[in-house]
Amino acid sequence: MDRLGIALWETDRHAAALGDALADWDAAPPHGLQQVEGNPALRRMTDQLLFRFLKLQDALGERLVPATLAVLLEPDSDRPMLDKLNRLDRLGYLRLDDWLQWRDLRNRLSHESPEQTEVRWATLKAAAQASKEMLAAYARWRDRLPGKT
Amino acid sequence: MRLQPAEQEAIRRACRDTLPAGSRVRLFGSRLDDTRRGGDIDLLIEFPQPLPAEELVARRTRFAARLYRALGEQRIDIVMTVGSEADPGPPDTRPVVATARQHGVELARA
Repeated sequence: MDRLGIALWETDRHAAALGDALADWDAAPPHGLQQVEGNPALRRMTDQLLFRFLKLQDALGERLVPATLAVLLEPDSDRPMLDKLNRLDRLGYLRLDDWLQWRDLRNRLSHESPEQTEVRWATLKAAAQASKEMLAAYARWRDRLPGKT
Repeated sequence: MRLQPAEQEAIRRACRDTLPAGSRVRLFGSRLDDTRRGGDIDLLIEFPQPLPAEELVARRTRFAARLYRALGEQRIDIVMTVGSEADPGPPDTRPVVATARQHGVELARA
């Protein structure tokens, strides 16, 4: 399997699992953080959603970004990540503003103050919404790849 | 203060572009200590009035994304609260807010 094939294999797995977690979330959306934290099944579902949200970002950033630039014959090895993302934005593979907002949500998920329950809950809901956007963006990205597997 | 002029300008611009009028951004924490090296950028955002949690999170995300775009992704810790010294609003008793208000340096105002 080539570099792009490996990247797609990994990204597909996380995208599928994230899609399943979102389907569970949408089937019975929780109403608040206390409900989630007090119910082991809801907590597991939410953990799964957040875990795959992080893993899909990792797969996109660490695997698919370099693999896409390589298949497009773009030099990538020594460029800062922001330059690579900018290039892929210009080539129509992603929207940099969306990407950076997903990164911020990722970074916040582990740094909320314990006393701000409403903000933590709003961050979690924003991550669920961002997961949907990321899945849609990945589908468009995948579709655009030359010789996609 | 250990922030480059370009970093300060990026914070001013992100504040102007993404936060409601009347908001203020202060730098606090280790970046105020000239004897140290590196460290997170700790920012306090003071909103002029209460906002729903969803909007607070959306504003914070857009603000941080603007900084990432200008500076590259780095550790930026953002604490959000309401009010200012002149109009304190509802009390925010978190120690981190008290510290940031007492020792923080205002960098930007929307």
